[in-house]
Formats: sequence, C-alpha cells, structure tokens
Amino acid sequence: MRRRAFLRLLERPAGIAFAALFTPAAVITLFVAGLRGPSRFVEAAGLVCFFVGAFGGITLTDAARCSFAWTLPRYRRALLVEFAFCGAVVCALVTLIGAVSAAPSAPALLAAAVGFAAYAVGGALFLTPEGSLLFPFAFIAFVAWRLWTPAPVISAPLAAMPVSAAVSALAIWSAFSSRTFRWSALLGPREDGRLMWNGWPTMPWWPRLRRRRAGGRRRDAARARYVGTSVLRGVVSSYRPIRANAWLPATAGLSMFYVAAVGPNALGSIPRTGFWIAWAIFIVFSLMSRSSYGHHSSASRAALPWSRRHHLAVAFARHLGDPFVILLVLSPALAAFAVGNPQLLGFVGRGIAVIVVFFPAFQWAAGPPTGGPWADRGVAMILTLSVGMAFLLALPLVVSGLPLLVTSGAAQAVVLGLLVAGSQVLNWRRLKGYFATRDLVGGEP
Amino acid sequence: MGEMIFEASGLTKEFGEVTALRDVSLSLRGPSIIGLIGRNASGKTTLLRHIVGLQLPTRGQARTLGVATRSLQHEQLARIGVVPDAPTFMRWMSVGEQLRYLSAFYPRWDMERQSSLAGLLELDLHADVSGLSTGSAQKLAIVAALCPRPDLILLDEPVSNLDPIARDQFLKLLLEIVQEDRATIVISSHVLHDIESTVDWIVCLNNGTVAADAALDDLKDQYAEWRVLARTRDLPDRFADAFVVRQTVMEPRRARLVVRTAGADLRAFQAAHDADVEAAPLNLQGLFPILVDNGRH
Repeated sequence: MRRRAFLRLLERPAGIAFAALFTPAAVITLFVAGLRGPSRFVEAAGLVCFFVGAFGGITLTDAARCSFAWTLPRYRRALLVEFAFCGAVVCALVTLIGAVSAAPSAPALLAAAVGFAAYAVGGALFLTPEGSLLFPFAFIAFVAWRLWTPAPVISAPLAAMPVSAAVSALAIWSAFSSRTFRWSALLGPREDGRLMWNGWPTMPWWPRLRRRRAGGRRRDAARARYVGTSVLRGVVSSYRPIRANAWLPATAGLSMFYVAAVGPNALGSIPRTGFWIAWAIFIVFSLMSRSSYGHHSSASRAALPWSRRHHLAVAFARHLGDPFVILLVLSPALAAFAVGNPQLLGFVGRGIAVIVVFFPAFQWAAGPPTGGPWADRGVAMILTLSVGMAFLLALPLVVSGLPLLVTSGAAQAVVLGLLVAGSQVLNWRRLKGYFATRDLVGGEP
Repeated sequence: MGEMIFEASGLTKEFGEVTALRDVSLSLRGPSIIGLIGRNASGKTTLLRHIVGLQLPTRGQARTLGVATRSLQHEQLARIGVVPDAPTFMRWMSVGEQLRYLSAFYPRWDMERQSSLAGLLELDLHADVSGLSTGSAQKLAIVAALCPRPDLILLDEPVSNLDPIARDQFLKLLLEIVQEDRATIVISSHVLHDIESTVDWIVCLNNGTVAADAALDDLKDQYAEWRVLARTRDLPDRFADAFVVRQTVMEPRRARLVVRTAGADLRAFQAAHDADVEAAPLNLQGLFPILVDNGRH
C-alpha cells in the first residue's frame, strides 16, 4: 500500500484554501521582489518559504497531537522525508521564479538555501515547544539585525550558505525529534485560534506557572458562577482565565520597543529605523491580539447559568475592550516611538486602525464567542486564513494607499473611525444573532 | 513461561512535586489479559504511557518487548496497539479514510478484521471523524488498535464510554483475540465487574505503588466473604479475630466479614461466636478496597 504521511495531510480543505489563496500572492511577491533586485528577492524567498513551512508546521502539529501518532511505526521518519521533499519542491519553484524575474543576477543557490532554512524554521515553530517560546524573541532579533545591518545576506553568500544549512538541520532535527513528538502526543489536540504559546507551559520546566494557572481557573470557576448580572463583573471574570503564557507577547512587544525603538532613537538616526519599528508595532499588536482573544470566552462551563442577554453583553464588551487593553499595554512604547518618530505617527495610526477594524474578524476566526474551538476545524481554518490574507492585503493598502486618496489627516481619521465603528456594528449584529439562535456549547461556524 | 512483555525495575515518575509512580517493579508476561486497576490518580495511565515510551522514567528502568522504552523502534511499535482514554484523530477525515491512513504504516494490518470489527461495533466507515460521539471515537480507536494484529494491546479505560451492548461485545472480542493472536492485553478500567470475567492477572496500583501483582484466581483464593448470622446471642460490635480484614455489622445478629483465608477456621469461628456462617468467594469489586486501602473503605 502506498504510504503518504505528510502529503495526505495537505489534501484537506485548509490545505487547498491555503494553496489557492497564498500561491498567487507568493508568485506576485517573488516576481516583484525579483525585479527589484537579487537582495530583495532572497528576502522575499525566505518570507514565502517561511509561510509555507509554517502552514506545514500547523498541519504536522495536528497530526503529531493525535493519539495514534506516537505509536504509529515509521511515522516520524515518513513525515520528515515528505516535509523535506515538499520544502525542496517549494524552494525549487521559488528559485525558478527568481530566474524568470531577475534573470542572470538572481542568486539561485543562495535563495534556495535561505528559503529552505526559512521553511524548516516555519515548520519547527509550531511543532516544537521551544520554537513557539522563542518566536517573539527571534522576531526581535530579526528586526534588530535588519536595523543595524543595511546590507542583507546577499553581501555575504559564503557565510549565509553554511548558516542556512545549519539552521535547516537544527530546525528539522528539533521538529522531528522523539522529544517533540512525545510532548505533542501528551499535549492533545491543538485548539483553533491558539497556534502558539498554549503548549509550552505544560513542559516540565514550567511547573510554577502551571500550578498557578490551575489554581486561577478554580477560583475563576467559583467566581463566575456568582457574578450576578453585572456585565462589568462578567467581563472581568472572563479575562481572569487568560493563560499565564499570554504575557509573553506583551513582554516581547514591550522589550522590542524599548530595545529597538527607544535605544536607536536615543543614539541617533539609523536608516529605516522608524519604518521597521512601525511595521514591528503592527506585528506585535497582531501577535498580542492573537494570544489574547484565544484565551477567554463569555461562557466557560461554570458561567453557563448566565442568561443569553448577559452572554451577549459580556461577549461584546470584551470584544470591544480587547484592542484597547492591548493599546493600553503598549502605550508607553508607543509614546516613546512617537517622540522619536513624529513623522511616522500617521503611518502607525493607520496601521493600528486597520488592526482594530479587523479585530472582530480575528476574534470570530479564533472560535465561537461561547468559548472552545469551532466544531468544524476545516471551516475554521479557512476562515482564519481568509481573514489573515484579507488583513495582510488591507494593511499596506490603508497604511500607504489611504493618504493618496485622502490627504487631510482629519479626514483620514474620520474615514478610519467610520471603518472601526462599522466593524463593531457588524460584530454586534453577528453576536446578537449568534446568542439568539445558537447552542451555548459546541460552536458551529 | 511466556514472552516478557514489560519489565519495570525501581520505576519512579515525578511531575514536579507530584510522584505519579513510586519505585514500581513489575514483570508482565504474555499471552494473558492483565487488569490494571487502582483508584483515580493512582498512576495507571502513567504506567501505560511508560509501556509505549510516551513518558520516560525519572528514575529506574522500563523495558517493553525486551527493549528499553526510551529506545523503542518501529519494529516494537508495530507490535503494540493502544486505545487511549481520550482518543483523537484527524477530524477532517472520514472514519474509513482515517483507517486507510493508519493501515499504510502497519505490515500486518488485517482488512478482514477491520470489516468485521466495524460491523460488530456498528462503526460507520463513511461518518466524519469530527462528528463522532465520544463512544464512537473510542470504537474507532479500538478498531485502529486491533487491526494491526498487535502482540501487545494497551487499553486505557476502553469500556468507559461504550454502551452495555458494545461493552459486552468488546470484552468477548478480547478473549477471542488472545486465543487467535496469542496477544497480551493490558486493560485499565474502573468497571471491575466487566473486566473480572475477562482478565487473568491483576496489577493494582495505589498512590503510584504496586499494591497487588498476582493472578486473579490467587487473589480471590486469599480472601473470602463470610455472612454471619447469630444463633442465640447478639454479635460483638467488632470482631477481634486476626484474619478478619473488613467487617460490617449490619444489626445485632447479622454481619458481613471479609476474611483472609489463610488462618481462618470456619468451624472454630462458628463455635466461638455461636453463629452460622455462609462462606462465599469474594469478587473483584469486593477485593478492590482491600487491595488499595487495606480495607479501610
């Protein structure tokens, strides 16, 4: 019988949706980057391969966390071989696009090596416990490196090649080690909307916070049952089960702003600092939102005695409050950035507005407002991918495109304010319909 | 003497400050059906996970099918079938697709057995995994574990979510498999009445230690239940006889005792207490409190 361990896993609705949505965007990105020069192309190749690897990693995570995965003979090896094969094919295609777009100047071998390393890292990121822990800090390191090193990997191919090979080997080894698969099998199924940070507090080296988390939930369960009818108290109680690991993106974000934004600004002007930090703000904001909205719900099991109206009010207040809580957490760093880069205030403001506009969509993609995962994970993943792609498309369009259409800052603020209000109105109507018609347990998308 | 299936020596597993298994030493030989019993959090699931190498000992040694559990290779894993307490599968596959996916990895996957088991357990191969009830998911796990014709089958609470009819069929099936494949089955369960008719060996864990490791018949022979009815005078509030391990005096003239058969003299007891005694064998349900808590419950 023909054995297809990894390739068979890709043949699912989410895989087809990812291919359909991501392939055209990747091809265009690579083609444009190739036309802009070999340096940009290598960076774009790395980025595209990283996203493909990350999707592969999510797929592998789903498999590794099934109860059969640990004892299935030759499973890890089969997954490894097919994952590596897919990476090689993706890198070959990426290099081919580079050859078509940038012709003789495209550094094919370097792009392939960097691409494969990024692919392997993307895969390991979701599969290994340490990968998800290190990701925010690796991101900080990447931004810092790009701040201080204007010349990219293209300038040092002899160093970049062995480094890429070493990174690939390390990532593949860690992703497919018996330790990773043991951990995955013990952890159980991944919950939708909680791609990262939900696993590593279960690692042996995380005992203290694990205990605290368990205690916190017990307290919350007791408290939620007797919150009465106050929406405010309901919202507060719904925030309490936020997992201990949710502080990590916030810490990473704040660290990044203070290390990468405040420091360089104090030392003097560095090329493209403000631009990079502005993008970092968007990404950190998104990471924080992702970690926050997956972690609380209006209807934990203990809270089921709430009325449907109470559920609705609490869910909406929390949906509305989440982005502002994150803004509050980031406000010191944002203020420091604004002082150093007053010319980029509009740029950052527009980006944050886009995130706030998309926030309800991400909250819906993360799971039903009653808590837990969506019943149909395939549909949930397609929803997440669609929202993510729409967000990635809208962010540069609004950040760079809106000033071309509406020049006045005040008018831009009005447009963005209307968009934010519109998304919240839609969210309210959707929540109202949901709580009027759906079961309070087991969400159907 | 059959093949050594699992061997533990001084096995200790700690999770931070919690010790799940404490200096466990065991030797399980097959073919046989071994009942793994114990109270909640006594270490049953942790022990099963050690058998397949999913968890590794903090201290001590564990060997499965002759290989250290840390080094189990596909040759050994292909000989093991596992039904976990909460089985999880690819939610986007149908039951049939899931079984087809798994079958490609096993050299001895028995398609005929797959069809017969699915029919016996009334498992719809066309149903989506995401729509399976807890009991149906457990049935799928049972089919997936038994079709590779494994030599060692580990069942962690396999009957807890099955309806009484499916449970009955499943337990009969286990007996057939032992006869047909000469497999060893380790079955962890709280439903003692069900497994009593199936198992021939009992391993009882209590607070992470081995409280009993013996043939079920031997354990039963060690204890008996005495129903005592006083003839002329009231029974004492408490029997002081050394062989009485558990006693319930229900009313002044009736009592129910669990006695250790070694040293228990029925006639002498009847004469001493001026009572009629009806002796009966003790079932696993009656043995359990004695094994786990020395009769204090």
